Amino acid sequence: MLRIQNLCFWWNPYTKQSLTLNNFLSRKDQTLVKTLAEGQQPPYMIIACCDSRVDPCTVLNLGPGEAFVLRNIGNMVPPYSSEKACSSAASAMEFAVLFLKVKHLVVIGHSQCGAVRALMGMEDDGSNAFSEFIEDWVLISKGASKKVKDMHRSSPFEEQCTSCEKEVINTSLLNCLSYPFVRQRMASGELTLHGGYYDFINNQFESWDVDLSCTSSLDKFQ
Amino acid sequence: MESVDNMQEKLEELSLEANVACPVDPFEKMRKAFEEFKAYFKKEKELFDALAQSQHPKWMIIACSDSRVDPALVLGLELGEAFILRNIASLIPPHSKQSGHKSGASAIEYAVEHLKVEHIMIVGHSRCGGIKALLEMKEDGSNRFSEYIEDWIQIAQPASEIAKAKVPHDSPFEELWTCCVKESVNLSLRNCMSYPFVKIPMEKGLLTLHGAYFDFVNGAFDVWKLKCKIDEHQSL
Repeated sequence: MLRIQNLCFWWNPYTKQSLTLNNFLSRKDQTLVKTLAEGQQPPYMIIACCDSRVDPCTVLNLGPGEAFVLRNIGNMVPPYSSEKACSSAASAMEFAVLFLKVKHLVVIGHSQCGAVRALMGMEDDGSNAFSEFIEDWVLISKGASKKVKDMHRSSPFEEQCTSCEKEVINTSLLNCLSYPFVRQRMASGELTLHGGYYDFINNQFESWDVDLSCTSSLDKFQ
Repeated sequence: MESVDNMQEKLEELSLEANVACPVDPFEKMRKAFEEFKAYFKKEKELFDALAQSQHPKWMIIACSDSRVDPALVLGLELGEAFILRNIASLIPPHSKQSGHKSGASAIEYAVEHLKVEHIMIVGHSRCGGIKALLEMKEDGSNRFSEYIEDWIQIAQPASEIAKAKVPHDSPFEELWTCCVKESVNLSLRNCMSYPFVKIPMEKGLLTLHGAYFDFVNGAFDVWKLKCKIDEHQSL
């Protein structure tokens, strides 16, 4: 049962830092509370999986007001489309990048991802389809699955899934880049893109940057 | 829809190189934070050994992406306790056969059918920017400001109509705002029920739907349940 009766506002279970109701109402924490009541200015937007084991604020000790967080299965981002579709990812990114003006956009994937496993397990002809919505969703990253199957043909399924988990992060990052407002803010140096992979089996966290550098096209003609 | 391959070509045309480089720490703070987390991870070995095998959360929580309302922080959740979907204004659209990416539907389907969660809670919150944008939208679209945000937040349009009918016209905006957030939570709960894979376990008593409102301005957390009961038939 969720411990709603013991509710602490903004409590981190692993640092055991808490802002309890008493603190909330006391003078000591009023500045933080008042500032956040007026608005948010998070430096990070995080796109992470819904998986119960990978809450990004818990794993990375991010407090209230620090990260604007989008979570879906498989931490996937559909590519930009001129067809107007009702998109949770596109709307969240637009808000974070253009209105909150976040400085870092981070896509975090993880080990043992059920969505990636479902993607990797799909037959090309759809003969083992099992869901109404899950497979349509994870097919956003079908390029990642195809790449892994081509490159690691002889590897065991588990290893292919691990490779695909990382490839899906890269696919999501490239899809983020397909949005003009993301590219524009990266080009102006106001936004950086990063990938992260949380391996909770081996207790490791890898991270990497997306480099977007300009080369002068005139150089090619000399 | 643009594929990733087309995207690569377009970037090359613009003479931009996109390199996805291998491990480099992007920011000091998170690296240090994870070092601290590792210590906690080692201490709670039994918990994490179990979680490494599989997850069995009893709860699915749908919350807003707002940086001030992370449900794990608000509710003091341990890792493994709740499967969490987050989007602007914690919205769930109704069941639809129309094509399009269904982030909410796929997450709920996975949580209910595969993880067999027993509770779904949708949490709205004070000062929600998404709901404010909804309330300020003009019918003729003359004050449209975004490419995607308004199309997304329109999911909650019926909640806006209910709230505007409920709250007296001369009330402070904050009252309308609060009412609309709560009506939006109720709308999303009803929309959840439109999915057969939610409705069937609910009717069997295997799944309970809850609404919640986190008020970080006044320090409160309201919770309520969605009850769906067909009354006894009465002869007229």
